[in-house]
Amino acid sequence: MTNKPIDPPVIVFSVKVYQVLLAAYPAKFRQKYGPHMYQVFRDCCLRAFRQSGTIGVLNLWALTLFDFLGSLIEEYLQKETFMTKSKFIHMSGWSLMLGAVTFFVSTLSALVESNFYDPFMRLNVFVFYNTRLVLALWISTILLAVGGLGLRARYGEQVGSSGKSFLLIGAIAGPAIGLLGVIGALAKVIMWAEFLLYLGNMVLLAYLTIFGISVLRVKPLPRWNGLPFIAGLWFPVLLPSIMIANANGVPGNLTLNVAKGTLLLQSIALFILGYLLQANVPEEAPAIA
Amino acid sequence: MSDTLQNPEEFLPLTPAVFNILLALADSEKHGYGIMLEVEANTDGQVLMGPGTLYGSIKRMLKAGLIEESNERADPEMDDQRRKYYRLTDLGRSILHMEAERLASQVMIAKAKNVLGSYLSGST
Repeated sequence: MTNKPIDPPVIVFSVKVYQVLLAAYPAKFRQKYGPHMYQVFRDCCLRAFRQSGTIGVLNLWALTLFDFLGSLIEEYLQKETFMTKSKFIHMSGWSLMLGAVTFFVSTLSALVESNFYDPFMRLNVFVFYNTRLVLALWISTILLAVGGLGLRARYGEQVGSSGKSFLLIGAIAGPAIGLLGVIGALAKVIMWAEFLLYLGNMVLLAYLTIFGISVLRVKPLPRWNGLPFIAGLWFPVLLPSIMIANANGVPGNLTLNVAKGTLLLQSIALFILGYLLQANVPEEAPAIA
Repeated sequence: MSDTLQNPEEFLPLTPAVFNILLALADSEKHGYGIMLEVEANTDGQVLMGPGTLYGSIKRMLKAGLIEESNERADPEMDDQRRKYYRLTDLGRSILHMEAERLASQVMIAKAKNVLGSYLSGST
């Protein structure tokens, strides 16, 4: 009789963590494929450890986390008991419209109520510890991220894998950064925590801009193919510009007015994009991607 | 029940993941980890699939009728019975053939335009 070889601790720990992550998948998918995914991940861990030791397992985790997030979203998007792809696209259009309104109202409130645009002058620049405002900013990020996923589901195949990937990264990274800001702001534990709330939307909208470049090239929208580019561009460009302008002595009122006007234009663009998305839902088709 | 389309051409072009899974199953049935290893080897490590992408694709390919589960084992005593094996269906094989033809025609165009030749000569 031979003893079963004992796995190294890093592998034992890794497969346990992966087993916990599997719980995030939709129940039907998890029940059918979870044990096989667990087995494959363990095989991959053993091979990575044999080839490169603990560093190999860490490298494997980098790939696995990206794979986990991407496939998790994909499974929820295609989870038929939850909703069809067409229903999701329709819903995401409304989410984008609502997100545009929330984004406008919450960011404008923050602009007016705080002196955030002057970060280089004082340390206590992010002075609004207003719970409702913090949450509203983060909710706007989530609504816009759902809208981004809807754009990905609707036009991703036409714009290609890079455009799809950028939207996915933005939709994951934006709310995640914003969440750090919410936790930091509410717990008052992270200096500049509120900036992370803006940064979440900046990252999300920057990726929308990059997606918009692909849209300009392929032109999959029924009209106004420049809209995703315009809808994404301004906030990521404007916010740092205003910070720098204020740091260099440009009057605060001037930059605030420019910010208000640009924010309004961007929000209108996001709203129209959401309207086009919910109104332009395709016939249901089987997806094998 | 599968969601097989009336016209197989509607599946084209395939995503890299689906094409590489079909290609890995072209010569023999394999389990998930076997598919993953073959895809990695066939693409010189350029296409790396994690378990989520692999089984997400397998789920959708089963549903579309491109592959099916197999209960056969070449040598059951040599293998883990918990593993599930997959093989191509006739539809899957036909779509793989069509996609390979499509890609080959793209390569022919690249050759005709000296894109491939100039790249190869530039790289040597």
